[in-house]
Amino acid sequence: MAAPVLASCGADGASTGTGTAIGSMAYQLGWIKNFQYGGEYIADDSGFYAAEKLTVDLVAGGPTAATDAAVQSGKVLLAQSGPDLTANAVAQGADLKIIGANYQRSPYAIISLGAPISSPADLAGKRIGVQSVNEVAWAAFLQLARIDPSSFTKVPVQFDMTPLTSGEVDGFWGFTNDNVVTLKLRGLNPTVMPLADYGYKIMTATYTARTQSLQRPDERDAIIRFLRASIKGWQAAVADPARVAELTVDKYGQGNGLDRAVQEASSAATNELMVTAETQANGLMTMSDQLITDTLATLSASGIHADRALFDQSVLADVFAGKPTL
Amino acid sequence: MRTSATRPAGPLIGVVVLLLGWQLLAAGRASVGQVVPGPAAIVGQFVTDGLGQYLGSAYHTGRAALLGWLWGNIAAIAAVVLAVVVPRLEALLLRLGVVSYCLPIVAIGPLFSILFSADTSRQVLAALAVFFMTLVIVTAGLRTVDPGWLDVVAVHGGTARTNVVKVRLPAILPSLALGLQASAPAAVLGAIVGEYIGADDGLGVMMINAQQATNAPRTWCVALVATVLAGVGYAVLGLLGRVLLPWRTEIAATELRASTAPHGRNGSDRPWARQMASSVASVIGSVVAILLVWEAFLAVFDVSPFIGKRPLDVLAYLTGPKVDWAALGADAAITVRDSLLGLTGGALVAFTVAAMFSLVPWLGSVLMPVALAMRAVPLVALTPVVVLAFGRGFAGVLVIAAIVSFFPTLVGVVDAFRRTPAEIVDVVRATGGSRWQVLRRVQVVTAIPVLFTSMRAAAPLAVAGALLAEWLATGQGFGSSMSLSLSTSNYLLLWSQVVLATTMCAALYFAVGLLERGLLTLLAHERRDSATTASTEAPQVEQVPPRDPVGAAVARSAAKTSAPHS
Repeated sequence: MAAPVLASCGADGASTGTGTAIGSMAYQLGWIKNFQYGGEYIADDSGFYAAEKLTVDLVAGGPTAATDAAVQSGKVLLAQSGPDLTANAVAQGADLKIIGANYQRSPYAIISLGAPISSPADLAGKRIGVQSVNEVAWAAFLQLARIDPSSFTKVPVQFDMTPLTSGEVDGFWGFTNDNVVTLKLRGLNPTVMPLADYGYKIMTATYTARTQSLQRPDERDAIIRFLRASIKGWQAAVADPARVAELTVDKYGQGNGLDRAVQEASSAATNELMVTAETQANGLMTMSDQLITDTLATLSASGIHADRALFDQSVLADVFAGKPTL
Repeated sequence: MRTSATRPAGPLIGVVVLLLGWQLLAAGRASVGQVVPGPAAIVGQFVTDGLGQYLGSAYHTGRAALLGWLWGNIAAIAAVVLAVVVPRLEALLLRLGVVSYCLPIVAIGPLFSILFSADTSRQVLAALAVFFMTLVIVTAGLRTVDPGWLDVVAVHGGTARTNVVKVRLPAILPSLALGLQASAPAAVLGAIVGEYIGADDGLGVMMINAQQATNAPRTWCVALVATVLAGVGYAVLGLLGRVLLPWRTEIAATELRASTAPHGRNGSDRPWARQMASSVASVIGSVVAILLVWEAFLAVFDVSPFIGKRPLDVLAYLTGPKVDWAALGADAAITVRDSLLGLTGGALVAFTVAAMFSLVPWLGSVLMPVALAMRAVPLVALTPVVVLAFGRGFAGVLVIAAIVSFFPTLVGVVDAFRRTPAEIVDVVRATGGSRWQVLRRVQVVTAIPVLFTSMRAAAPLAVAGALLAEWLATGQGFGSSMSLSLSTSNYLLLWSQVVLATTMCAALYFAVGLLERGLLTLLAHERRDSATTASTEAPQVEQVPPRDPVGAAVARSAAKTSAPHS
């Protein structure tokens, strides 16, 4: 290969010649700074990034953040996204790869407070609040669980759970590691039906990179260093949800009115999505062949056509180098 | 104001009545209390959180708003100076301003957040919210230059340059002060919307967290702090304006009248065909200019072709085989329906309420301050309340679109009713006319042009409200499908939807403007006809100076303060 003369797209550091390592990069978060990025906070706060000679800009997302587009446009080197979103972006001409999966299981669930909805059969005749961004996933779930869409009423909602707590809807599309936790800490007793238990098998909270970044030695190197430090951070986060809550509330999401107890409980609940037999054998973020197959089947049910080329397992292989922990 | 001078307790009673009613309603129905917590719950939350919590977030929002306010006003002032130096550009710049006012934030906000850092993005949204308002107010000031002064300069051998430097630019100053003041609340809300799309800190981020935690009292605290922040900016700039330009109010009165009356730039003496041709040419010029700005934007900010689609891309898409006109048409029909009904519904209710205030003055003095305060409540916070009360169907959208056009119209029409010349009222009363007859025969006629002016300013707001409601509540129309295009990375479709929604909004704005102009012409003719017989009975709209010019300007610009909610 010719000596790589690199444009530093997505990376702010000097990268004009061979052997010049990228010193700073940006990671686009999917949401505003809360417990969901605990591993990255620890990696930053504990100096894991610094040890990799990286300065990482954690770019806040939000309710309408288009994170794949942020990677594709070169604004950031890496972004958090989901396979459905990334596959859609690829279908529209983006050249992106999924290189790791923070959540091995979907956090999506239908949450009910009144008449319990604990299995798909309970949906019949109910009013179910679904956010417009989740409609594609919802349609896929209905197909995978073989539910007739006309058997219940779908109600458009946003992330605010008021429609559920006020009784405007019977079931609410939410997250096992967030909405459920909030309700429980408020003394309510929600019934939770995780979609993953009824055929909706998909990895999520995935890391997206541009294909060209994975091919350019310096950018690939920066991504590997970032993931190595982040996974160390996540290992610490899994072991210590209180630390995640502390960093979220007092440092990274400081001043934004986050509740420490909710952040800690959410962080602990996230472990159930991140840690599986698979990750204990092969490390956090792992995308096993089976998980990729399941994910593609779920995407297909969503009407999203993708193939295995959407995923690149080689980056994590380089990160872990044969060991399950770092 | 007159009412507050004679009845100083009026506003206070209004606030107390409102708070009591609110508390009772919140306590009465649990489902209401969850969305609209009573004042006690809100105060309790504020005390628990502590002032520092809110001051911190308000600082970040305030800083972004201040910078956006600065940039937006610099751009507006540059545009006005350009219009002074090259007067032919004035109409063009105003049309660009209207388009900037019509851009759907649902789609534009996320694009900005990809192009810029989160901090820059909220400043840009604040600047965008500011630009049109200052542009409109200052341009209105431009037209008030007394031709006599220009003659004086000409007589003394002054050049066109002297005109600009000595007469036109100084004449702008008072309206500039007004524009700077009126755009302050708009900047705050623009910044909050930017934060709501995604940022590290600020009131918008706090509102997301409060909503996600389903903490309604805190959501309301944040909304109220935002309202106070906007109000403080408005008050401080008003004070500065009064200190620096003590003659300001007087001059402002004349210029606001000018801004209210649509002007026939083409001159009504010219033949109809030539006027028409000139209008068509001017519209084509504007479209070309907009396309150039669009291209320049993509080039200057080096927008990735993945997210940034060019005019020709959109044209090719819209004329190509891939476009689903049935879907776009259905979206457009829904959004047009929602906007139009919201606009007319809001305006009619506002007109009726203003008439009621006029018939029963104590009611006005009690409720008007409440209406003024409610104007500043961010729509993002209001939407869940409306949805709970009116459902997620057509009624909910209608109410949201109507609320945004209700407040500016109400303030404008109430102001117009107050400005009815006392002599005319006295004549009617002296000849045995009742209060109702004064209203019907004098005030309503006087206020109708103002109604249309207010509706023109409210038109883009009604569209913005409809889009917001479609996005957050009904899942239909452009508001919903634009957010779907974004989440499926279909940027070609997104830009096409932006073009269609913006065109629709601008068309509505100009259509109301045409109605307004037609009506004024009609009224002017009628007045001329009846002038000889009953000059006292025909209200002389154009000779009535507003008693509360700043209030009237705010009325119009109130428009913008509640504009960019999404």
